[in-house]
Amino acid sequence: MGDIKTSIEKVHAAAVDEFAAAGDESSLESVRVRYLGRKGRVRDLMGTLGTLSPEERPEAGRLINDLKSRIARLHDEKSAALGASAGGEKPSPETLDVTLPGTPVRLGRIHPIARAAREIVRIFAGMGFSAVYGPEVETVHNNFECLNMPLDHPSRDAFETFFVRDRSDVVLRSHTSPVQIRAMLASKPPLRIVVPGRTYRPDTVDATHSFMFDQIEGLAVGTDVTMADLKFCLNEFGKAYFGPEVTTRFRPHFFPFTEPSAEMDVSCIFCGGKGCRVCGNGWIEVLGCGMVHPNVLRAVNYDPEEYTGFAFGMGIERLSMIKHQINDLRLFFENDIRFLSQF
Amino acid sequence: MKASWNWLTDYVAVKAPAADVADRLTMAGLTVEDIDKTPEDICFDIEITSNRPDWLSHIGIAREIAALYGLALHVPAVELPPAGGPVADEAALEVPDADLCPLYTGRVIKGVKIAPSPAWLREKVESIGLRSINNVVDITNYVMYECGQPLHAFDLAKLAGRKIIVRRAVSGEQITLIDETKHTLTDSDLVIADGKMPVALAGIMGGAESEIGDETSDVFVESAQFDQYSVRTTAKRLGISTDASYRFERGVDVETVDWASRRTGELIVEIAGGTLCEGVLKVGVERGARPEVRLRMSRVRRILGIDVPIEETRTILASLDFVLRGGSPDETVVEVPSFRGDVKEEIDLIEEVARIKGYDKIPFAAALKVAVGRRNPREIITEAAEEVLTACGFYGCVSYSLVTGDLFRKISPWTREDPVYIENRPGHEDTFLRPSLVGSLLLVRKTNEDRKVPDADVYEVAHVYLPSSDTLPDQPLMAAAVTGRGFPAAKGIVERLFQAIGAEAVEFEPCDFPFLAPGEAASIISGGEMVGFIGRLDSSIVESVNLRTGVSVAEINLGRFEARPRNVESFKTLQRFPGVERDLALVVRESVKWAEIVSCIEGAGAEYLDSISFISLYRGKPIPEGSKSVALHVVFRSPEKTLTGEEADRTQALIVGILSERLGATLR
Ligand SMILES: [Zn+2]
Repeated sequence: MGDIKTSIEKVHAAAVDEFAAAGDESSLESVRVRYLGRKGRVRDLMGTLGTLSPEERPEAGRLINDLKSRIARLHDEKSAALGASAGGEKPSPETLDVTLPGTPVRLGRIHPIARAAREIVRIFAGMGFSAVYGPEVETVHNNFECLNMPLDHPSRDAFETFFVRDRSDVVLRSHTSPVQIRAMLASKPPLRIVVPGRTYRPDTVDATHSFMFDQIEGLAVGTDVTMADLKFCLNEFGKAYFGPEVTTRFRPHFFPFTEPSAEMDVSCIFCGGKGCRVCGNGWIEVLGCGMVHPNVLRAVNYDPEEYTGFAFGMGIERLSMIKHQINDLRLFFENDIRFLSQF
Repeated sequence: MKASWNWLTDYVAVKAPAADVADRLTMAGLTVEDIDKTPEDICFDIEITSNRPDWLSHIGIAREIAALYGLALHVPAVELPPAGGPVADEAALEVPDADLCPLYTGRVIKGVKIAPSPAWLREKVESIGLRSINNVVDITNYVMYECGQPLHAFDLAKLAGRKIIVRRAVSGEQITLIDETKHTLTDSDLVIADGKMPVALAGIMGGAESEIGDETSDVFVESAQFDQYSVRTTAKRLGISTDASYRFERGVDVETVDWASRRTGELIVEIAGGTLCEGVLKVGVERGARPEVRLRMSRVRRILGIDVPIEETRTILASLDFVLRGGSPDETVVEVPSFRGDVKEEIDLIEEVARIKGYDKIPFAAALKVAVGRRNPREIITEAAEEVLTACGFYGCVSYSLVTGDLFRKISPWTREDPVYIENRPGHEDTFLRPSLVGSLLLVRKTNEDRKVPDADVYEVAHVYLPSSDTLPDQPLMAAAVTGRGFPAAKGIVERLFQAIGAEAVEFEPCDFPFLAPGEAASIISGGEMVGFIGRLDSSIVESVNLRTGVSVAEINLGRFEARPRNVESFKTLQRFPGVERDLALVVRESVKWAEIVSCIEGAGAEYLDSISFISLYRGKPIPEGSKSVALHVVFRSPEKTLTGEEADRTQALIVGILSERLGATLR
């Protein structure tokens, strides 16, 4: 059985190359005959079925039939391509049905998470933020301590973390915030960065939870950065990402690494803020933000008397789910082409 | 935290409708997630952030409403009933492990009558979703939800030696809790013990042995402060979370301990009868930290971007029970109340001012200086790679970096060491960080095959993780792809990708990774090191993944090219003179590789050589066994003139001569 599988694949691989190489109609036809003709290689393979055991035969037969249709598709694609480049047969105006579909073009797509991340990075680039990156496997020091999250504090409850085996000092980062620390240690203010990347928390996978998800973190530090700047930038972001008609509101919240802290809601893009099944009360929570906590600035040797800053973080999947009305987080990680081809 | 509207109005005479109050609370940081209306009452379900344990009580939330609406907060005064004999005659208290219990108090009420709660009390506890148990237990719950201080009532008669000892457990000691679960303790767990054994897990749950029952007559009321880390550690280890542990973990107010104890005593005598003993058993310090914090108006402006009048900041802080301790026209000094352990420095006061004033009073107004958002080399290189792959029909994937199983151990081209294993994934002890993206993409292809999407061409750009002697593992950024196309087609795409990311001098060398089919595998070399690989997947892996068709796979260390400046293409003059094109069919030994033929021709020093390209390969008659025929196309051209046939012939002869000399090639 393994042998025949190997042969089938050899034939297919060879066919891919030969069809690709066929430069005109006549060479294409000879390749077609070589593979699909009465004495073609597919027929040859059929002939070998007799050497297999009766249990193996149906499966092998199915595989060969598969092969046949795959090769037929190669032929059709090439034929269409040649026809197009030659200008094709010129149909008379009466016989051309212009409502017939055009010849399919095979293009791929980038993943919707990558697409959303790119879009968000570009929005912030327009406000002077540059993208930076950092490691996904991080030190506990950068992931927690520098971010004003002391050991064993309940504030860490929301940040349950994967540890690397036999290492109490190395974790999978539970947020992109440690990259803030790296960026601030690496340079002096002023600083305006966004940080896209994967993050990890030991959650059980369901429609709204995943042990791996993507965040975008942002940070602006300077001598003159205020909460009014924060509100301006994030309000502009909300409108740029969800549409110019949305409004935003900021609710006080708690994060260990910012103070004052806030959550930003956008007016529901489905009901316009009147309240519906999706939003409940007209608002949809989209991100967390706040003024950088003085302890975080101190941890990177920035003088909080001299510098202030704001920071924000958002879940990329969540934003994408809201925007595209995707109802199950798991779809992002299954990579079903029928899903991926929609965005 | 569930809060009853009727109950809140016991402490603050708010006239605004409940919906308005819910909205104001939400906009002050107490997010009202749900409002449950009954004919008698309205119940708010409020998300309380972990920094505000003082909001885990009706008085705490009422204080916030009072501040938001400019109203007075009424905390009930406690009037203790006439006392009986001294408490010290009834019970004894020892706290040997005071490091985990800064304050412990006990009161005794003798001769109570355990009975169902009166209607008002039952309604109160039921209004927030608790179950009414009996009058004494309901009172302890009521007072906890009133002021945030957890309380526990013991049946004094069941305490051996009528004695309370607050100590660490002896390793191996056991306790059965009120919920009938049995636990074995360690010497890091704090317990309340009687003369014989543990009778409660401190700050978490009481024991079944000393529980209040129908026959209970003498009650010992505990009101205490336990170390928050100790409670948290024990509760986490035993997997228990209670209203009490939830509050102790976040920190209770030491100055509320006595008030709660007296309040409980007062209510028990009022509702369950009996006599309150004179005095209180107490070990520890009752006064909390009340730091003085300075608030400068200049800082308010620096942080919030707006001016807030100093009088307004003082009014706000006073309404939250901060005590004004002086100041100047530019600053205010306040004493922080003991229940506000979260307020440590100036920024915390600025947040309080902003919260009560309202974040909506801060305008959307940027004073930020102009800055340039620069593109990161990683963005540039990733997008260039993705452009090629999507144009070739590939779909971008995001698959889990955490993997299990042999497939991912077998496909490990970048290291021979064990992968980086991950802890704490219960049920997935084998979890490790993937050393290559290829395994994930094979599973993606399989998923799509199973869902009737055959021939899914997929790629992923992500990190892989390789063991390292440094603190952190190596985490290079890879681009990997899986396709049903054959090796040459896959290689064509990879070559185009390298070109797009500006990689020069990339070479393909035969290699023998066990997961690639023998003879159809190449490692990709640049700068003397492996930067990628490409090949047909070995049939053993095709079978183990149960793919219906064979695939080509490739993985490239994209990050390796990130630091290099991307090649800026320099313009090459468009040739004006026609070239002479020749097809050559060379017969060479089987072992001669295309790359050798090319370098031989290029090295021949032929003046007019313009380009060389591959046409086809042929084996079989009349070519002798062990040899092959390579057809190639060469173009000869001069930038200055049209070549004559003679000049072209001379050039061709030169090339053929060298091919013959160096590679033993003959023209067919
Ligand atoms: Zn809505």
